[in-house]
Amino acid sequence: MRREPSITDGDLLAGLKAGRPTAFEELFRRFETRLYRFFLLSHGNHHLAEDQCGDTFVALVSAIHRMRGGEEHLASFVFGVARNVLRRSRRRGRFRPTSLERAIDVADSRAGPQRTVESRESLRQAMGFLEAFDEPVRHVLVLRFVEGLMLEEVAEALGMPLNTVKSHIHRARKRLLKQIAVAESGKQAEDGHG
Amino acid sequence: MAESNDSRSADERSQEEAPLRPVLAPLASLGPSDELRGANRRRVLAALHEPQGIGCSDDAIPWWRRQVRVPLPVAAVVLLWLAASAVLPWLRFDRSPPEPREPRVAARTETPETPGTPGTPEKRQAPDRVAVSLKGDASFFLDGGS
Repeated sequence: MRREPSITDGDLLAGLKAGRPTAFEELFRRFETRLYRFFLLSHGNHHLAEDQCGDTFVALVSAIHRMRGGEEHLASFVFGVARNVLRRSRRRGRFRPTSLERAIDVADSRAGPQRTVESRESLRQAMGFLEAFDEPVRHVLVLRFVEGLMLEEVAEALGMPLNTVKSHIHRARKRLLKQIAVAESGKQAEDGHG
Repeated sequence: MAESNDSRSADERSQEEAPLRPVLAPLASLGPSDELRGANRRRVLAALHEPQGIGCSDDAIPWWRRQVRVPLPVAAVVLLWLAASAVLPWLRFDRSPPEPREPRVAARTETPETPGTPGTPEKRQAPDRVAVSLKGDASFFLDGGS
């Protein structure tokens, strides 16, 4: 069940710009998990994702003054700062991408008895599918389909034209359909042999 | 008309995205550890209390320590203009043509081609020596007249 936001977006932005700790608490609540996922799905390194998550919040403390526009731009601004943190850590040589599938054990928040084998397999498949893409496409897919941003927000956060975002999604869809077709033909071949 | 176009494009978009949604949806179950949540809160609270943090607005900084942001093209133009205004006077000084020497003008206008002037041709061809030869001629004439 989704928790209702305790303060409105407008109040949140005003509170952040005024440096109110309660506003930052709310920012944590809304973005901590989403930022962590964004970083984790970028490189698969759990510890690095945690560090970068903290770096992003610290960067937001000083960067929130520079934010233009209203509260509707908050998500794209936060993910834009996260993208800059990712770039900076790559320049510093902190960026060591690992297999996304290895991150499942550490980062799966529902891991445990309630996590069924089937849902674990679907998570593994999702990570495998995502891993086939390079970074800009991967970021587009994560922000759009995991974090639920609108296309315009994705374009703003990643600093790319809207049509580029759409073409990345189109290419991902084509690849997925191709994978499904290949898997189905393989299955049919197996059934035929069996 | 525009609304129908928008709704049509939204439908097309949702159809385009339909196969991707169920594949990527399981990724939403990933989340950070509880230790991370606590650590991040502490880091941000510490950053909030730093002098460079958000609590230190521009009003609290004295005017001589405030910074302004200038767009890069504007800064580049101003720098180029300053450099040009500093360097151009020197370049102009170097390239200016040499001032005409008065004695040479005097030699062309005032040399009398009077018959019987005993000026030496070698000395007339050398411009630097014209003044000397003129003086010599003048003195010659004066001397001859007297």
